[in-house]
Amino acid sequence: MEILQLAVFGGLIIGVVYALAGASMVVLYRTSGYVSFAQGDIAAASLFVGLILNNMGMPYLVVAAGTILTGAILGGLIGSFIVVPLERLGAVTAVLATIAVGMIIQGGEMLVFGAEPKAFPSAGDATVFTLGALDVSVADVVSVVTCALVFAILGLAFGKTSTGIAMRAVNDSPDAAQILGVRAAQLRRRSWVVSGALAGVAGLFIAPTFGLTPFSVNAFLIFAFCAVVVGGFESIVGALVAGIGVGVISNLVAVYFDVNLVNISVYIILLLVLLVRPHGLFGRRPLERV
Amino acid sequence: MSATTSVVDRQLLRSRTNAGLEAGRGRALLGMRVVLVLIAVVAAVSVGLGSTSGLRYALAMGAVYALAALANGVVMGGLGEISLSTSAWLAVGAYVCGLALEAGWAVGWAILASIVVTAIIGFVVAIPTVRLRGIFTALATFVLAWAVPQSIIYLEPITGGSHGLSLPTGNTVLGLPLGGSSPGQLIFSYICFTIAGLVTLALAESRIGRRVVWVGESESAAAVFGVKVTWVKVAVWTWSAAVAGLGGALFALTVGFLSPDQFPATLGINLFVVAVIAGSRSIWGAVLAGVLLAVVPTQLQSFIPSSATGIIFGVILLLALLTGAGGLAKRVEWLILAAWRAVRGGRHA
Repeated sequence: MEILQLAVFGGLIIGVVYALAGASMVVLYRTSGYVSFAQGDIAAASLFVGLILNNMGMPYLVVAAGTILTGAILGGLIGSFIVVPLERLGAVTAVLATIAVGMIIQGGEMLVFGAEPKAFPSAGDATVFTLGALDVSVADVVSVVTCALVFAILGLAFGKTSTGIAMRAVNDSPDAAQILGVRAAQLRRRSWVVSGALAGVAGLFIAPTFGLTPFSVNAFLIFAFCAVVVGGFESIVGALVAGIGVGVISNLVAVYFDVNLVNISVYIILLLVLLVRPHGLFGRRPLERV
Repeated sequence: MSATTSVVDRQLLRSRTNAGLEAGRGRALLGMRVVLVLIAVVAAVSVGLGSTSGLRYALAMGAVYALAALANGVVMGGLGEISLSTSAWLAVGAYVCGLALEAGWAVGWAILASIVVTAIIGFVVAIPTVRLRGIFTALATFVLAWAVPQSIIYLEPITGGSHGLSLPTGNTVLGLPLGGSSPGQLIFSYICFTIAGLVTLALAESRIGRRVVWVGESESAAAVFGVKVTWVKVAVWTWSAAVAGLGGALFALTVGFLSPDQFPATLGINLFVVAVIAGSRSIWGAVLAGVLLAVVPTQLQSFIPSSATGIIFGVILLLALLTGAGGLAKRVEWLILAAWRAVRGGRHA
């Protein structure tokens, strides 16, 4: 029973982080219709900036703000100058560009910081309360609260604000959106800024537990991908539910079967969902005109 | 009258060669392509034979990666889909070959086993995968590339897990000693690549290849003309896995030691990237891609650590995308064609 509690609640807390990383993907997908393979690298680069701030003796809040800001700036730069201009050549080219950018960032980090894992500060390691058998730390509480806030804001922004509706319009029907005076390119650049910032936020909760290397954040990409695919690329709520679901299931697999079965089970979940509900559990089925 | 016909013929030939340049197939350019494959292979082998053992080893690995790039190109060039899981097929092929060698099989049978087993697994995985498209294919193959090395660790009783698997040494093929930087390995690997490459080229020229091009251009149009779209796609993925399985077998023979971290998901991405840089619809471009991936990181070590070579590949890929250049191989073929036309045009005048 204790092991089950550990697995479920631990999965909940890590699932929240998957959901945050997934949100970073969803924001991009909503406006552009593709995913970025560079989000892990953007997060890692921002975290290295955060680490430098930390080593200068800055308080945690400054470190966190610096990390998120760097993510936003990096995302904005990459989106504005590289990926969005390449979109006219097709979604595959845009995805390729994100892979290229990711490789460049990763190589740069290897050159500057090397491959040894570095300790990254967390929001606080003290135990706040125990949930069943699990000690819940300050950092865990912060990540859950942040996640709830981020998702509430994103949900409102997508559903209620004109920008959010315009973002959806740009992806659904670019021509109609253009006729109505929606500036597609500008919206896409903005979504890159938001997506980069969210990657930074997710990274803040990954790095303290798993150490910071040029690759450590990237390993979370597959869980984030899985979360958005299972949840449905369009849906913010889907990313949240699926992220937590993926977290809990992978924890259960690790506890009751074998740690080394986690990735293959994630793959099988992904494939099953894509086959049974190609648009995810919460996604909308797009209209297809032949 | 006959003069007009000849002009029409020339125009027709011209448009056919142009289309062939674009599609990577077509009789008009077949001769040139076969010659280019042979030139690329002979160049790689002769440079390898005449150089240090370090470079020879890198070039032998180049043949392995060339097969992987070819496997990637079959999917990218044929169907226009992104496959990031070639590293996983390399791993499967390598482990099957390694286990067969350990069980005392002859090299030839071990390689055959690698190809067959990888093709079967590739076939099974392809059945769900071909229902996906675009970024979803990319995501599914990416997650597969993450899952396979971990599964190898899970299968520790068979594969030796993260401790790795040491293979028996002293393997020979037709009296040629294989392994490491031996000249025999280099020659044998490139012979294997040449066979796989020319068979792929022949398949591309065949009726099957034509169907693949139709499906790649427009699935619904191909379906209207009675092409069984799903099976064509499954066949392409299976062939891709089989080619990568052969590459994996050569990997095992060359390196002589297998461990899961030799096949990280980043290898799958790197293979895809070099295949795109070199030109995913070209067989000799695959040689170029393989050699790029194997040689650049080791030879530039004194300028840039091999772990950071991603910068070089990333920048080249971005430049290729930004200039809209397509693959390097297509550029070179275009230049050759232009030169040939200039020479012929000169003769006509």
